[in-house]
Amino acid sequence: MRLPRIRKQHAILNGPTVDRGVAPVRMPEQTAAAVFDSVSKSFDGRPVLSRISLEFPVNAVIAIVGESGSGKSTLLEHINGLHRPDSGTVSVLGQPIDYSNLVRLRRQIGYAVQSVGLFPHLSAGTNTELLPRLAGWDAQRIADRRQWLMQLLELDAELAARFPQQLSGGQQQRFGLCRAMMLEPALLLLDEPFSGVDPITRQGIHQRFLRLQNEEPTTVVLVTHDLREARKLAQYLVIIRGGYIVQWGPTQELIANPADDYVSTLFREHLQ
Amino acid sequence: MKFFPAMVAMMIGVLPVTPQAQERLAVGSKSFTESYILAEIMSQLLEAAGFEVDRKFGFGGTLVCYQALVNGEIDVYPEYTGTISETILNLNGSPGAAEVDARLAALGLQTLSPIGFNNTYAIATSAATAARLQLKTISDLRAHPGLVFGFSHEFRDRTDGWPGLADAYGLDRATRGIEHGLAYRAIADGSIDVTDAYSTDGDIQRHKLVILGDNLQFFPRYDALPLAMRSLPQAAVAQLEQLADRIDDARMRELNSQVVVGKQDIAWVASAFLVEAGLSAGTEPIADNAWRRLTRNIVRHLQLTVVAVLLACLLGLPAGVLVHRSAVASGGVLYVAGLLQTIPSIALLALMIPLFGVGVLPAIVALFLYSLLPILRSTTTALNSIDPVLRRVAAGMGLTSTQQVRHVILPLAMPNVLAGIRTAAIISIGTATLAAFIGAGGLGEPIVTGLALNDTNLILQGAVPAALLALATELVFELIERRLVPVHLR
Repeated sequence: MRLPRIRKQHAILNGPTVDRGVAPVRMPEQTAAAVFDSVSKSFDGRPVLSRISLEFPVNAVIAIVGESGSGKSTLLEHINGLHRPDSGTVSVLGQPIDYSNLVRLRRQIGYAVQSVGLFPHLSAGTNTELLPRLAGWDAQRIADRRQWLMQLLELDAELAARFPQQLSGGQQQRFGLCRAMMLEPALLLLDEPFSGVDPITRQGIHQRFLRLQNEEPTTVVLVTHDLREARKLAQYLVIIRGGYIVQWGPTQELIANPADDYVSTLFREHLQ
Repeated sequence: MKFFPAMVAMMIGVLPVTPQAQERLAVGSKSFTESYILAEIMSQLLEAAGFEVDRKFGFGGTLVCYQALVNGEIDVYPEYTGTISETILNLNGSPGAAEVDARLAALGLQTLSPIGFNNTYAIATSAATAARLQLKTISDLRAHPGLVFGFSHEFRDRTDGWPGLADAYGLDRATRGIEHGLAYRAIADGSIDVTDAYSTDGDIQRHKLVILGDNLQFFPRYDALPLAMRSLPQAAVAQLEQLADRIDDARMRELNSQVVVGKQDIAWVASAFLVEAGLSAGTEPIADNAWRRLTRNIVRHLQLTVVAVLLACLLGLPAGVLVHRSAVASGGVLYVAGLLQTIPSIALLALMIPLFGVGVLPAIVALFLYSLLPILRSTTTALNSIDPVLRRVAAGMGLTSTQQVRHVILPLAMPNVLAGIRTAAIISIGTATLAAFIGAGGLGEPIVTGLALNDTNLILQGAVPAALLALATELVFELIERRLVPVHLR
């Protein structure tokens, strides 16, 4: 199916589409979308991330894989400034994060978590429109963008009027993606966005996600505990355990050369 | 704290009322029949002399009434000598009139001449028994050991009741305890022969009882008289002095009886008395239009509750946010608010009197304090129950803090917060009926008067509108919720 295509405008390249007199940010081409330099973080004295150094290549899908409690979500939440490192720096879109102006940063980053991420008091449509409306987009632009994303994600137009509780799990997740993509983000953070639905629905969402990624390539950081999902969607894998990075690199390379017993056991048990 | 009363006064548009113009006087009364009648007589007498009179009747108890007088809320009210020396001045024994006057003068108060009757404890028996046994005084009882004595529980225990009386008169015999309300009937059916009574009780005539003379003057005197500010205008004093010695025990019993037994209107009874005593030309008492009275009570009731609940929101909502944010604050604030809630409403109202006097202001403060906890608690609960994932998403997607509150936190918290305000409003409407005891008016006024006069009709005139008001409030909140809370959160 050939979809009507709205020309993608990268917020970072054309300057922020939004807000009050902020100078455009120029990013040198070919740089990593996000860089972690020796980032450590503890909660109440318990280390959660230890000396994490990482680069997230532009326009690739990077999956962060680990068991629950391994620190993978915390790692993700450092990219949009929900957490601030105790030591080390996080740079996003070519600049160290300016923690005094997180709103500007976050509007260049799409964010979706599980299905509960939709606000229950707003219809699915309003959920997707909230941010662009607040960012000052005009109604036509919002409508066009949403229509395009909904078609791509195979969401019927009439579903927009429903409240999240009136949608199936799969539909909620697709609306969550749609909302995260509305501002044409340079970076998309997904925290277990496809969990909690049956395998068939999951397959369908994966298809649509890949189609979206194909139509509108974006740097995607995906947190998942499902290695199969990671292998299917991501070009890069980051394997994290107890707050340390065990191994990271291109997906196929990792599968071919596990760094240690833990990684090889992981692959053997989950990918056979 | 200083701006608080002023703010409340501004919001309700009435400053604490002190009669300024000489022509305007406020007469008070306690909440029992005799006090109402005397206050009404005094009011009509003052009106006959050209004064404009505010009737602030039905204060709940001596201390409330006295406070109202000292604070200048009222200028005069009927009081009893025994009560003045014991309850108000805390004097033991039987102080001389000179001492009492001096103490009152120091407080800026004065007593006028006694009205003539002495409403004290009395010993009553049936007229038939008295005639048969030739009983005239309490001493006469000594000769008839066969008579059954049944006394109210309080009278049996008080030292100035039966124990003292038995001592003084040498009446050494067993007594039975009986509920005061049932004693007269018990005499009528012969199960007891003698009981305690109040000497001017209107029921005494109805039950054909006689009072036995206190020939040894055991009981303290409770002579009725007007207790007034020293600043009471001379013309008013002169007018009230006309009541001196006009009403004796029998006359007062009769007036009480006309109201309690005959169910006659107090204003009418007072007016008839004044005409008969030649103290007034018999101007038609101004009939208080029932609808106007009802409207006035409802408006006042709404003023009390709306202002109190609004103030509670003003403080409770931000405090709720604070409590939600800080564990330390949460302990302290919720503890204090919870403590306030445990104070019985009538006690809380009484506690307000030394701080804020009587009338609207202390009532609003008390209602405000009661409304705090439900609003505070529901706000905290509302905020605590918001899914942390939604908060993280709201922040993470790039909403400013204001936008997070406006578009996510507030709408999600709304149902719980509204429920709290609704609870506060309903509690306030109920509790506000007690505000009449401290002279705040409202729908409690007919209830308090009705209770004092044993007038069910009057009680219903307050209780029914109060219940309807509560229902209407529920309805209003229902509508507000329908507007503010999306279907899927209800």
